Amino acid sequence: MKSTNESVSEVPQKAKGRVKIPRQPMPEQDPRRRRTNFEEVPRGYSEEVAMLEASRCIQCKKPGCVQGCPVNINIPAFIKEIAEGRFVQALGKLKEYTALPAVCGRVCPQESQCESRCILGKKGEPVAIGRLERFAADYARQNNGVPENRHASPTGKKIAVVGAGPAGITVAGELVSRGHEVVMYEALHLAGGVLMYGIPQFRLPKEIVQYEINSLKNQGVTIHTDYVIGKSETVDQLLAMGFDAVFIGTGAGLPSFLGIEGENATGVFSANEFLTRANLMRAIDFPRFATSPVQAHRAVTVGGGNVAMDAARTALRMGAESTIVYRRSREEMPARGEEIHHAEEEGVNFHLLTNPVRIVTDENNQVTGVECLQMELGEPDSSGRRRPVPVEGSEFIVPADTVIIAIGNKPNPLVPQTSPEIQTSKWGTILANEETMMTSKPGVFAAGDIVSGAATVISAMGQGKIAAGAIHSYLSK
Amino acid sequence: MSFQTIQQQAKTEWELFDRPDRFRILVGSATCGRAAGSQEVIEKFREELANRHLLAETDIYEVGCLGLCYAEVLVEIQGKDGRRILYQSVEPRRVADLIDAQLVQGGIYEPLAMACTQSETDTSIPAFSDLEIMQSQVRIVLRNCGIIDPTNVEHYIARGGYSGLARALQMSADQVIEEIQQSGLRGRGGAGFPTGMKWSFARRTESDRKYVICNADEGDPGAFMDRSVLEGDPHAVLEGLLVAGYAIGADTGYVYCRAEYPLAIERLQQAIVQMHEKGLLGANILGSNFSFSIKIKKGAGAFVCGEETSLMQSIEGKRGMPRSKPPFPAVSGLFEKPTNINNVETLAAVSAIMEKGAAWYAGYGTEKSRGTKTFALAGKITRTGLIEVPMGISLRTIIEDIGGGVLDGKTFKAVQTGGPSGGCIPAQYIDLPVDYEHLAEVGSIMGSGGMIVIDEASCMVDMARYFLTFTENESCGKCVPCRMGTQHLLNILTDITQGKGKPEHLDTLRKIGATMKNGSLCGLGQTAANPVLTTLTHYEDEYLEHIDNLKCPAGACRSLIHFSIDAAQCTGCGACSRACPVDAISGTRKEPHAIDQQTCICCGSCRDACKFEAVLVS
Amino acid sequence: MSIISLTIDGLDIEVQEGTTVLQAARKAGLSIPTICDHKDLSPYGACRMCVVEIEGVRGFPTSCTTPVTPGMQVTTQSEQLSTLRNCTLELMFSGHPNSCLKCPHRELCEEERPQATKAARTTRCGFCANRDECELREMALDSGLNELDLPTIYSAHKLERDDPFMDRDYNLCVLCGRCWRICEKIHGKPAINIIHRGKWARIGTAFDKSHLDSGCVFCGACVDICPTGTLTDRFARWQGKPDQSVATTCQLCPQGCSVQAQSKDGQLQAYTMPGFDKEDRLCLLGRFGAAQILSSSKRITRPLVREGDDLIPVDWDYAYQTISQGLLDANGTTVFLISETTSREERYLYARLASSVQGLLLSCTTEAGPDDPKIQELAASIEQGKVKAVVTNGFFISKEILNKTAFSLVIDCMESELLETAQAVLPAAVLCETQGSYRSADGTVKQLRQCSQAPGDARPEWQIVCSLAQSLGKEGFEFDVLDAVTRLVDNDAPPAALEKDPRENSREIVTRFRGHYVADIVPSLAAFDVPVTLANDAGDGRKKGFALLEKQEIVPNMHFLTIEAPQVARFAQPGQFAILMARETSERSPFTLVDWDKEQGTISLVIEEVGRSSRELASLRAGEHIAHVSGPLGLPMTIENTGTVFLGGGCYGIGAIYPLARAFKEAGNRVICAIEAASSYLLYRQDELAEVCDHLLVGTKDGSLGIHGGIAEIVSAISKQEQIDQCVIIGCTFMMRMVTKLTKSLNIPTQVALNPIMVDGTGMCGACRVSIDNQTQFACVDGPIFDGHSVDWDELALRRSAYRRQEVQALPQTVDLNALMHSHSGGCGCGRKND
Repeated sequence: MKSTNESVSEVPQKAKGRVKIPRQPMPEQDPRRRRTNFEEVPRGYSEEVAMLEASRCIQCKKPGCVQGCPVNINIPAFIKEIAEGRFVQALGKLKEYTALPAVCGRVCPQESQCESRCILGKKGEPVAIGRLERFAADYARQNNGVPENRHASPTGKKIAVVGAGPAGITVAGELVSRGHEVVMYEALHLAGGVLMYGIPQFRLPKEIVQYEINSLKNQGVTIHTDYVIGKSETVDQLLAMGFDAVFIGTGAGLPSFLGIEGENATGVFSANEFLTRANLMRAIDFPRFATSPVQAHRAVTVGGGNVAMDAARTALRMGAESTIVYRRSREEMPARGEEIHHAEEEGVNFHLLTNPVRIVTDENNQVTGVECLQMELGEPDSSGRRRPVPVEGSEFIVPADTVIIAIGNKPNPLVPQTSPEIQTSKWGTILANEETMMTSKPGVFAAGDIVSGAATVISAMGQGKIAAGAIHSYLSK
Repeated sequence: MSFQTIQQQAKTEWELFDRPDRFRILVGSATCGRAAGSQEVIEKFREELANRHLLAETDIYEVGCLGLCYAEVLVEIQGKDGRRILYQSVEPRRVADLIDAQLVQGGIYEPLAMACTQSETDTSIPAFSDLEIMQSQVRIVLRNCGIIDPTNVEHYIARGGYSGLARALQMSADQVIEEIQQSGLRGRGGAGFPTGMKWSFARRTESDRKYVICNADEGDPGAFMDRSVLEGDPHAVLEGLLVAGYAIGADTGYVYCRAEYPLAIERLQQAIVQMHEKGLLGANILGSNFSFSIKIKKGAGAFVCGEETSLMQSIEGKRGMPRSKPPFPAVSGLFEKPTNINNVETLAAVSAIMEKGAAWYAGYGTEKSRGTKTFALAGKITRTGLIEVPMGISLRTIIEDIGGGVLDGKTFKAVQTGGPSGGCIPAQYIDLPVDYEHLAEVGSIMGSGGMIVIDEASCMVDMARYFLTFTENESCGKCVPCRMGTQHLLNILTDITQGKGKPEHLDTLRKIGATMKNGSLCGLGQTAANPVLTTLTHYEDEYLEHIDNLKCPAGACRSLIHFSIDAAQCTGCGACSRACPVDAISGTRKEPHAIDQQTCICCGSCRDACKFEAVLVS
Repeated sequence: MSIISLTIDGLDIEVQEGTTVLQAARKAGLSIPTICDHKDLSPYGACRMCVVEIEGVRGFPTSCTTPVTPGMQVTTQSEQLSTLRNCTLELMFSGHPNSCLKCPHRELCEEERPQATKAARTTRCGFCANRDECELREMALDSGLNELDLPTIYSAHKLERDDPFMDRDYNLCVLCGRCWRICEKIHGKPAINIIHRGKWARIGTAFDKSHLDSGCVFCGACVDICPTGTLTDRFARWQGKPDQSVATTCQLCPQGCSVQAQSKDGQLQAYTMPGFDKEDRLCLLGRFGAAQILSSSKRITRPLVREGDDLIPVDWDYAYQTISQGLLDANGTTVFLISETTSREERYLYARLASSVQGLLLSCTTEAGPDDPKIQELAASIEQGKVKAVVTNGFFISKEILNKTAFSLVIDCMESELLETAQAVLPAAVLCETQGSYRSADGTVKQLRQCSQAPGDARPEWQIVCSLAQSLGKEGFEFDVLDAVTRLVDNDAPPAALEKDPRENSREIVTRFRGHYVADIVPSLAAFDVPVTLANDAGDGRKKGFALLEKQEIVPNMHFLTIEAPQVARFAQPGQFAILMARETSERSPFTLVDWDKEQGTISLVIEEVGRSSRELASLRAGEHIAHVSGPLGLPMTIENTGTVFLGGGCYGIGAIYPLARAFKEAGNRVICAIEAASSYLLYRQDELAEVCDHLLVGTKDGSLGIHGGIAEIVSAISKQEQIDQCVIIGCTFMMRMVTKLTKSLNIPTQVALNPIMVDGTGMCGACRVSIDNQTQFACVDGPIFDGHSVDWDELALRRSAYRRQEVQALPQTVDLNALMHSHSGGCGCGRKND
């Protein structure tokens, strides 16, 4: 009963032959098993498979993939290194553009970014850029391979980075490598932001995040955890303390709720709480770790994004019968296709075109179910998606003892509240110049979810990269 | 060896001790004497005698305690003229003078001379027995203390020792018990249960094994009767123990002595060795069928181990805690065998009774309380010490004649008898005869013989608090009324002495006191409230003064008094200021001084230092 | 033995000679109160409650110690007796936290808090693990005692946690002596006794050594016989009263001790002794280990079948099919490695299955493991291909050897390295999750009865073996009920006796259960120097983080901490809080700032020890470090001059109102502070508070100081005397709720500092949401201070108890293994003091 799904064929030497090589599948944990554990789902390429996959890249002269990448990684360059077996050097190439290759390789929606522009994708399947990125980063990490850092002479400039999430890490990485002194402030006890508290272990092992954070520290970035800017120093005070610029990357951490009856009942959680407990606080290792896990038997997750998938799959792994309730259809789901697919594979139930209208509770205010309305798709709305319309009289109750609300987050107000000079939108996001990510306050930059509202890790990193460039020019003036 | 032979040997030895052709020096070297410096005095004697080349013709003996605590170190010197003079308060620096005066010059060193002790009285100095402190005493239990060398069994035998045992062995056990019953001896440990009757119970119980125990776990604060006897005349006690063993049919005796009495334990150990040598212990004692062995068990100093059931637990190696009676020890005692337990003084009286007969002993004391009783006289009295008086003697005789009255001429207020389990007897009962019945009538007890004289400057609430501090600490913790009751009593008394008392406190004291008395498991708990209850009976006004007016009439409770200086009387000598340990007194020389009330800790040093009665207490 | 006639309360009674008066009275149906008396102990006479009057006997003898005598006339009820008993009871309760009888809010509070708070020390009924079973309280209620006038004397004995299994709070002890007497009765020489004297008298070991060094063998009899909650089983302490109690047999070793299994909601709480006699005694593994084994997080809960690298969870039928195919395919000798401590029926069935497949059954002794010589021989046979398949019901073979077989099946209850190579794994129900019979080493056949539920899909092995045999096509395994199997078992050999009796010596306990090291499952067993495979990761991360400059338990359960946290100190304002994590594994827990020093960069907090997180903080010592401190968080209190401000604090709130009082005072208000506690000894920081307010009032639930009652009583008294313009209340939810209800009726604007469950404290998780005027607010960023009259208290109270079960489960994890292993005598020289 040995696994047979990995086959390694000879690498054809000629380009023509290469095109015939199929896209190498990612070995994965069997869904029946993985729904019982928190180990990472994809197992990663072996060296041979990685080289084989890398050899598929035809090294376009005008690579579309680079344009597809929010941080414009020189994708053909790093793939070439892999194809030629120089794995650590491949990471070096990646590190020129991204501070978090191991993370990006795992959580970026490559299907809609780099890989969507791959020339091979026009006829067959695109090169598995994300998997290769992940491979390069994992290889170097596991083999203690450290690519050479870009060394820049110290500029004497000092930047405060508020929030150690994807945007902040990108900014810090970019700026420190350009010779600036970077001090990061993180409100939680571990740096990483959503990478630590939000994305589950089985998608992104926390050791990897901490490894990346450590390498940032090794480059000279100072990280103050447990430091709540806005409650302690304000942005103004940071500037007064001698920082030449301040970057705000405090994300969108304020959970939205549905505003329906019964939502404060015992057993209703924001996806943030549910995931933070499981991930950052490691309730999955309870009782060795003290934070109580949510002991769900029937978990209903409301929402259709990546966070909803993460929450539903986490609930499943903690032993619950897990159901997703989403008011539109599968096509409208904002989650990555792979995540939806994984969730389905693992046995998450999907109640689509279903709109929760009330949380049903017992006499102890404990959740017993979610009352839902069946929906049907009507005319497209402003976002272009077809608007769901309730079917009259279609109320039904989905039984549940746990309800997880995963319908998005609002920007965290702690910093904007205490810096009135920084203009914000009516949704609470910070208004920043799209080209420089500078806010209305000179010398103060912002990027990531605090600017764009809840989005993806890589878009935050992309913005961070823009901000870093702008900060560098600002400081070089 | 027949007893006659033994006696003969002893007589020879005694003559050596008593011989007039040598210088003889007796130094009171019981623990009390040692504490006062007897060892240094002896050392000095040796040194000075050697200087004068007299050492070879001098015998120096360490003897027990005469009971004159206020006069330690006591030294009796006998010159070759046969004159024996008892000197008091001897310090090493006076030794040379003593030797020169009496041994070299043949006179008396008058500054320290107290009495003459030879049988022929010396006109120049009062006879020992004529001393005020001795006049009313009858020394039966203390018969040999301070007179013989306690490490020498021959001395004891020469003075009649072991003849009682020899006599007992000629009698049947029942006859011995009868003899003791005839004597009217009652237990001197406190409860006063007739000794003979107690023995008869243990005798009556059938068992393969029986035990007798000597309770030498003297624990009352200020009591040292047992220690003095054990240190000064150990054989008197051991002989009594043998008699008791013979009477009830025991083959093993235990002496349970607190480890804080190392000298007593040493004396007992020596005595036991000597008894074995003389055939007074072991198999077939004095050729009889009676065999007996004695073990010494050291107690760790828990007060409750003086309680018989606790004591037996302790001997068994368990925590000393009382157990409920019945079963009584006479039925099931040590190692669940019939056991008889008597205290030191009782056993010392037994040996005397067996020697001299029941009628002789019964001739002392009152009808219900026969014989004599030792008391440790302490407190605010001129002559503190260990005394032995016939039962029925009045308190007045003890306090005024023997004790020399209240110290410093202050007014007598009360006497506390019976230790922490006892009660306070107010001044109006000064003519009360001291025996079991009369003490009980006024709410106190005989106890083991503590007698603390209280003067007008002592606060009765504080006094009760002092005793409760002791019992609260010493409660074994087993039963609820005693463990919790002592704590509450002490807390309330402390509150009262600190001015935090409430009127309802008096009822609470009485309520808890009654519960302890009726509900406690052993004597300790049943009597622990006595100091409170008796002072409440006789001195309720004094309690109320503390509570209602925040005043301590005796001026003893520091929280309720303050010291001030009467400017009219103050001469500005500065004595008070120098005496003050906290520098609370200031003033210009020859001007009236003043006390800073914030700094003052009310210790009273200033008042003691002032020669002009200028320090006032209010 | 002759019959003795006596009269009790006018009833003529005949009893055997040697009977005590108490026993005789009980026989006559008369009830006499007592706490130290126990049917399995000899008379002791310590509590003095069973006093009676006997004609002709002086005083009030205790009926428990007095044997009957012919013609005895006993009175058990009289005015004098009830006075004496009530006063004795009052004295007893004065040394035991007694607000469970005296608190004026008791009934309301119990309604609000149906379960006790998991406090360190029990200082009141709300903190008492024993409150449903307290014999003391029962006796008090039976006696009709309604007045306790004596002040409470709290001895402040330290809480003893320096042994692996017990929490000992001698402040609850009434010295009934049952514990040491049962210890003496069972073990001869007791490991414990009363030590010290007077008010310091308490139960303890000789020279106050750790129980680990005292000769204690941890039979648990003392815990089970304690009537007051002084001695508790740390694992089960907060689980509540058991709802099921079943007589069964312990299978942890060949001894096969009879046990009384106690469980609640299907979860085993403990194996306890079936009686209180020497022959009933248990070893520590049975007494304290069994429940931890069954509730281990390492239990296997579903059938698993290997596909490639993965063990896939499957259903039973599929598992049986795959396994029988695997066994058939292996085509050769199958060896069954079966633990000797498996039930008779199961061993019979295993043997039968083995013979039906021409296999071989090897019986593994209790101490057998992969290093056993027998297994080495087996390994050789496997290498030589003589053995093709292995079925094992424990960790008796290494994963490497198992991997060399063509097929391997593990039927076990506990995860091990075998899961890496086994071809199939089936979850077994074990110990008191199953039924059957057990032959102990001495040959006796004993009953196994079920008392708890197996986790997940685990099944009893007899069912597993039968189903497997049937799917292999074997006949003779069609058993529906176990009895049918039992009848067939005959002449089964008893397991090999242990060389030493683990009940006699705690160092002689068996070290394995089905081949697994027991210390891997029950970590605190490490204190007995038994082998473990898992590294002890209790390692103290107490050297990194925020320096703890000062730590003091100011009153029981209440710890005052001063921490170096400059960035919090610099920005702290009244009403704000900080989030602390004692260790990296701790929860993030919010605590109100009590004081701060901007210059020194320090903050002070009052932490009430009521759960795992606060316990971890409380167990730190000055000089150590707190892993994380974050803050200041929350909105500060709005401080204005409103006139007369009333600040009320209870529990941790006494500390929390301090900075508010200071600020309100500085703003020119007349400030009245009121503090409440169950008893006077629980009040703290009065002097500090008195300095920053105009008037300080206290209330105690036992009436020991100030007003008898709490903040509510004080508010209502004060409001009659003067106008209160603003009221701020901080304390437990129950108290805040009660007071706000009152101030609403009095029309006093009232603010409260809410204390819902929080995770991040920065507005990110929403765990702390509360309904204020039907609007959802986050206590961490919108609060914690809210208008008390708008709070949905019911919702808050229910939300706060959401994790109760998990919190109870987490508590045993606070055992500090390092401290435990260093607690004995300190001879290891590590310098760690056991204070």
